[in-house]
Formats: sequence, structure tokens, C-alpha cells
Amino acid sequence: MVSIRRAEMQDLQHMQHCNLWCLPENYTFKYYLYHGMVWQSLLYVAEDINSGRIVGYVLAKQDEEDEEGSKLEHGHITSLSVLRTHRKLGLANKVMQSTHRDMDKIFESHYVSLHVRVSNRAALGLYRDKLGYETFDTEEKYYADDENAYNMRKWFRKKAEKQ
Amino acid sequence: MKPAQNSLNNKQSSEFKALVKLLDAKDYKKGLRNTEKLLEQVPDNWEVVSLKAIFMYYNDEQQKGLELAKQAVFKNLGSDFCWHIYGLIYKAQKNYIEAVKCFLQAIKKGEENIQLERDTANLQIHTRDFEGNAQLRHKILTKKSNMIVNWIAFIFSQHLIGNYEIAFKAINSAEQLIQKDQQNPIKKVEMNEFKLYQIQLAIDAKDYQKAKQNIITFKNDITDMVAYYELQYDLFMKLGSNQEAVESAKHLLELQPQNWKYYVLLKKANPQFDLSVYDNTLVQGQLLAELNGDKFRESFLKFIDPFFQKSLPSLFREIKHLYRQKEKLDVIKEAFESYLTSGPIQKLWALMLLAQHHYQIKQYAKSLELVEEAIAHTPTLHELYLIKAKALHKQEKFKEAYEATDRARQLDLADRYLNNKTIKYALRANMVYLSQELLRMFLRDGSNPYELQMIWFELGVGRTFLRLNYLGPALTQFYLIFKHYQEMYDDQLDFYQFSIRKYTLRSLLQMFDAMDNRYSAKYFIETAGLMIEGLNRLKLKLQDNNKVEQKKLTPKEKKQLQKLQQKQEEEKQLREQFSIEGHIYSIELQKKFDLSGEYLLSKLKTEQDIIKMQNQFAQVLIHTNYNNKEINFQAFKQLVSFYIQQNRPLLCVKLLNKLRNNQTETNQIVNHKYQLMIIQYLNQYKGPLLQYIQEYQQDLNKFDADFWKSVEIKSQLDKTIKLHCEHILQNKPFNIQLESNELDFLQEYPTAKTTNPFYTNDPNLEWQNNQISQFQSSQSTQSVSQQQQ
Repeated sequence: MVSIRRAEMQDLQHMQHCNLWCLPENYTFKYYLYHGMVWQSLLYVAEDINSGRIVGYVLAKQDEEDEEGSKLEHGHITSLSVLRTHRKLGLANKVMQSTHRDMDKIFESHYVSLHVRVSNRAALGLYRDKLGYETFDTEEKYYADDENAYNMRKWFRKKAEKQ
Repeated sequence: MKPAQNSLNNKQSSEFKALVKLLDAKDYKKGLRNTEKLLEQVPDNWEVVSLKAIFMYYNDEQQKGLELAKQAVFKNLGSDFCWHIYGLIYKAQKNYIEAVKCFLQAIKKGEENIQLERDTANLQIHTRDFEGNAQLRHKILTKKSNMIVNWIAFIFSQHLIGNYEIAFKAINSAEQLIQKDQQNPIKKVEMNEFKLYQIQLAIDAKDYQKAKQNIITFKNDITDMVAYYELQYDLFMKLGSNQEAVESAKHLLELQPQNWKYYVLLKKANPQFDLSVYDNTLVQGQLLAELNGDKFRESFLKFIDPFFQKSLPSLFREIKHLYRQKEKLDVIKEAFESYLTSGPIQKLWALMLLAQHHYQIKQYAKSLELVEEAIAHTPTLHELYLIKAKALHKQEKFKEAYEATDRARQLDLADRYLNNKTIKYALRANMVYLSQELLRMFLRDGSNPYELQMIWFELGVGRTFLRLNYLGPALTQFYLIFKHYQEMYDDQLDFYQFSIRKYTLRSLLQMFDAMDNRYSAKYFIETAGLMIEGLNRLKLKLQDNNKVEQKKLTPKEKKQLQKLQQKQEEEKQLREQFSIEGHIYSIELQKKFDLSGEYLLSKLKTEQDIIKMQNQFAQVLIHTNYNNKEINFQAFKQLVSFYIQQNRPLLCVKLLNKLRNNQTETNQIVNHKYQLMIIQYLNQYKGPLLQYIQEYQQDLNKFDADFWKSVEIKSQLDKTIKLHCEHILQNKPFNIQLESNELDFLQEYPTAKTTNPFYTNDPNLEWQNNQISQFQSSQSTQSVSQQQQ
């Protein structure tokens, strides 16, 4: 059985481990610590309660500035993954919804952004159909292997409120 | 840094300032050159000598640099500049305790340097010198009390030493300052954090009335309701207001209905609470454990049906916790079997679940039979191959297990999990070379597992090398892991001040806990156990070598020795062309991480060196605790002979308790042997610590006899261990290592002469090469087919 909860600092090393088992985009421990120290409330994990293992996580942060350089508080999903053994259980959806809520309520984010491989159909389905993200633009050769990324956004507040 | 002025003329003084700038700019080469020029004019200026010292330090003359800096300090005790430099060198060496001492001297002797004071205060937190930190933070606050960050740092420092009353008073001042400061208004999220922190502080101070008051008055400032209700629950439980705590837990469940911990909290506050009102899979699954008989059968069938209907492959994990209850096993099995005839898809899942079922109850042959049937039914489901690999692994068919995972991997080459699994099994089959090739597929150009702190991989490689008795490369991997854990601790340095600025003090407190307990993690405990074992073997090898050196060799032995040396020389040459321990990385990288272990071994030339390093790991290991008894035991048992040899009675007592706490059905017999060894040692102890030891002394024969009455001897291994125990009772030596199947490679141990198992006629190498060319060709055909799409 899997429990979804906010990450504690002692989860960080296990989140790093989970990341190394799922994605080719990896970070050193310090980067996890950085997220934990500033935006702990945005970090959620999926824990297998029989084994105590972290089987999925979302690593997220806040930014005060827009890509266009104007001041606009928004969230950003740094990394999200779920172990292959725990797919199809809706875990990614659940950790994402938790972090969305906290970006909205705690940080009063206008929107949340993320990058996704254009070929990753499963993830696109989750972001667009289940979580309400829209494609903002496409970034050429965003990934190390030259694949393009969709830059996607989900708005928490009406775009009119932007100013 | 404040440049010194005394005894320098104007020109020299500006040169001095320029040197300090070079130091800040990290231009150490030019710095050293120019310092030496200046020293020609003023050879007795010890502040300039200090500069030379630090430039030397950064120009690869660490020891000389440190000594010179020390000399400069003692020649000129009154100079804050010299102390500052001396401290900076210690800091660069990561000797933070000494660095703090030097900086405090510099602060005492010098003029105002708020930056240095703040850095020193942060280093004090890093060395967990909370008393010193509180004093320094007070000093900083009195100097600059108009800055809110100094107040927050001060409050936190008082919190850490338990001076809550002072902290509360300071909070009032801080709040007033926040109100007054219109230029830098506090952000809403910062206010949220600050208020949550104040509640936490009141709870820590056990001032529950204040905490309760805070919870009421702060509610409008707090936006993080998860943290809010967690604190509220904690407070109500401490006040004994369980009914109110129940309400807090319910609020938490509204926010996070999938958090199992909150259900546990709810039950804790009200044991009568019926969780079944929460109708979700998590609760239903957990509650299955509490049901029995027909009620269980009915609920179980209802629980598993949706998984079959939606073809979810993860069902087994959801019900695995039920296997602790033997009476449920038949019901589970029958339930799975009932789907064998419900249709082709259901049949597939049923076969897979039954294979997992038989694996779980240790019937590996049956498990394999079922999974083969499932594979024949649907050969494209990767889960099946992973189950097959697990069962084969239990039967010690490591190469076949690798082949099974490799089939899974080929079903989805873009999946890292399957790739990693294949690596794991490749390593278990001693295929280091192959495992690196597999890893390479997911490594970006230029990256490597060591910089990425890929601990699981390092541990796997190290374990494999140790299995092959290839000690240098094995120890290196373990040592690298140890360094990662040290790096982790030092990563904190950047965040103390940062988090004080951001008001995230609750996260900071949690970070202290997590980092102080970072070693209580599965990977570290395994690593430490293996490191100590590896060092033991190194010690034995050394003793062997010493024997060879001391006794006069017969002509025949001389010839053998010559042959061995020749072999080693050949291997050395081979290594320069090709190294099994890191052939996918550049030579520079292999050197940087010392993958051959040459550097590490050069530091382990005597028994004393080895023991010192063992102790480094043992000291950390003995204080760890992880929630898996098997993993704990495997590591702790490595400490037994070490602490006995080191004659450490109190640590032996601690270890004895650790062994007892980590006893399981699986390890009880081996565990008994180690307990026996310790008790025998304690019985013979007669030293000054006797009064602490006495209660652990007992009749060894009775202890042993009682134990064997209570267990059933099932395997050959059990018999061997019983024999060991008899030898212990008679004080006879025995070969301690022959106790698990994992150690079958130790037959030639401890006198194994293998240095590099891969060089001389290794059939594995050919096999691995074959595998590699196979997957390389399959990868290129796949990328072609992708392009065609």
C-alpha cells in the first residue's frame, strides 16, 4: 500500500535514489536539500508503507519572476517520477495535486510550469487531461539528448489578474 | 577581509591590498608569485607570511601552508589577520572545529567584521556548538539590532540551547521590528512560516497554554494548513485533549486522504474509531489485515477484483502485508486461482499473482513453473521476467537471472528502472564490465555515477569486487559512498543563514535531525558492514605476506613468489591499457576517484592503518539503526570479532544488545553464534569495567544448550554453525566466514591470491563481450526503427 505525504528532510536522500531509478535527469543531494530548505511544503512523496521505501516524489519550487522577466509569483515542477513498479496507481497525479494546492494556497502562485519531453505521451496525458495544464510553448533541444520539450502551464488564478 | 597596514609603506600597503583581492578572486598562482615578491622587501611581516601560507595551501602545498600559517600566528598573536587566515585554511580542510577557534580569536582581536562573525556563527551551527553560537549571535544582535535577520538568528540560537523565555521575549521585539519596517515588508509566506515556528517553539518549551493561544490567534496568518493541523494535533495530544486531536486528524485527512500516517494518528487519539467510514483503497487494503474467516474471504475478493478488471499489475504489492498472517495464505491463493478460468487476460494476471505468491512463501521452483506458464501465455509483459529473475536468483542461478532481466529490459529500452534492474543482476553474476556498459546508456556524456552520488551502483560494484576478493577496487567503492555521506553533511553549510533569512526554521530543525541521523540508512549500513569485512580480509592478507617475508623461503617458495610478482607486473601493465574497474570513464576520472584503489591501499600499509579505518566505520555503524533487522544484523555481525580483538567490553555489550534487537527467524542461528562469541569474551573479562559487564556474564554452556533446544536444525549451514558454536565453547579456532551461501567464493580465502580476476583467461569476459555487442546491435536497430516512425 502506498501513502502520499509531505516530504520530510530524511526523505531527501531517498528521493534522490528514486530519481536515479526513474529518470536520466539527475541532481546531486545538495539540490534536493535546497528545495527542502526553502519549499518543503511543496515536496511530496509516495511511500510504500510495507517496505518504507520512497516509490515516487515531486520536487517543486517557486519563482518570483516570469520567463518574460516581469514579477509574477509562480510555481515550477523541478522533477516528478514514480518507480516503474508503482505505475498506473495514480500516484503522480496525487503528489501533483498536493503540491498544486500548496503552491496556490501557501505561495499564492498565479500558475505552475513544467517541462516535458514531446515524446512522453503518458506524462502529457496526465498533465493535459487530468491536471489541466496547457502548452505554453516548445523549447528546442531542451534535453541532453536534443529532444524538444513542451513548456506547460496550469493557471491557478485567472489570467486577467496577472497585472 | 581587513588588510593589515602596520609596518608597510604606502606602496607596499596597496600591494598587500591587491594580494587580498587575488585571494578573493581565487587567483592563487599569481597570488603566490606576488606575495613572494613583496616578502623580499618585508621578510618579517607576518601578515604577508600568512598570505603566502594560504596561497601555498591552494597551490597544492597543503601541509606546508598550514604549518606556515600557524607559525605566523604564533609570531604575531595579536594579529586578527593572521588568525583569520589560519582559520580559512582550517575551513578549507573542512576542519571546522579548529576554524571556529581561529575565527573567534580573529573576532576578539580585530575590528568589526560582521561577515566573519556571521560565517563563524554558521560554522558553529555546523559543528553543533549551539552554546558558542548563542553567544556570538547575541554579540551580532547587540551590534546590529535594527536588522530583523539578526533577531531571527538570535531567537533560533536561544531555542537551540533551551533558553525559551529569552526566545519568547526576543520574538516580541522581532514582531515589533517587522511591523515597523515598511521598506522591506515581510512576505505573506514568511509570516506564515514565522507563526508556525512560534507555535513549534512554544510546544518545544512545553508551554502548552502559550501554544494553544498561538494556534488560535495566528490562524489568519497561517496558510499552510497541513503544518497547522499537524502542530495542532501534536499539541492536543500533549494536553491530553484526545477528542480535539481527533478533529485535527480529520482535518488532516480532508487535506491528504492518502496519507496513512494520519489514519494512524486518528486511531491513536481514539482507538475505538472505525476507519472503515473512509471508503478508499488505502484504508480497505490496510483493514484487510484485521479481518478473519469468511469476512476476510469476502472482503479480499471484493478488494482484488478491480485490479483484475483494470489489468493493474501492482496488486501483489498492495496485499503483501497480509503474508505476515499465515492463516490467510490459503484464502489468498484460492482467490487468485479463481481467476484462472475467468478469461485469457484474467488467467494471465492469476498466473502472475500465483507465481508471486509462491515466491513469497519461498517455493521458488513452483514460482518459476507458474511464471514460465505466464510467459508462454504472454511473452511481452516485463513484470513476468522480473519475477522470474527473482526466483532464479533465490536458486542461485545468477546468469540466468540476469538473462531474464535483460529480456525485460529489451521490452522497453527507454526505461531506466528496467535498465537498473538488469545492472543489478549483472553485478550479482559478477559482470562488472557489462554492468558499466549498461549504465552508460543512461549516463549523459561526461557524467559518471560517482559525481551523481549513485550509491546503489557503487555498493553493487563494491560488493561484486569483494565477492571476487578484488580488494582495492572494492574498498574504493565503499569509501566513495562514505564520502558521499560526509558531503551530504557539509551540503548543509550553505543553508543555515539562508533558511534564517527565509524564516524556514522548522525545516532547519528537521534538517539537523535528518543529517545527524543520515547514517541510519540502508545503503550506509550495508556499506559499513562490507567495508569492515573487506578490511578484515586485507588484514589477513597482510599477515600472510608478513609470514612470507619473515620466514626464510625454500627455493620452491621463492620460485612461486617470483611467479606471483611477475603476474602482478603483467596485470599492472594490462591495467594501464584497460581497467575493469572503470573502463567506461576516462583515465583522469579513474584516477580522480581512485577506482583501482591504489591510493587507498597505499594508505593501508600496516595493520594499524587498517584498524584505524575500520574504527572510522565502526564508530558510525554502532550508532545506527534501520527498520530492517536483516540488514542491521548483516552489518553488526561484522563488528563482533573487531570489537573483541580491540578489547572493547562496553562496545561489545552495546553490540550484544544490537544483535538481540535484530534477531529474526531467518538469522536466529547465526545470530546466536555471534552472541555466544561476545558472551564468551565478556565472561573472560576481568578489567576495571567489570561492574558494567557483570550482568551480561552467564553460564555459556547453559546459554548454548538452551538455545539449541528451542530451534530446529534444517540445513547443512545450520549444522556448520552448530559446529562453530561447539568450537567457541571449547575455545577452538574456526573459519568464521563459512556461514552463508553468499560467501561461497571464499573457499580460497583467506589466502586467496587473486588480484584481478578478469585478466587471466576469464571466460566471463568473453561472455560479457558477447552480451555487450548484442545489446549494442539491438540498440542501433531500435534507433533506426524509431527514425522510421
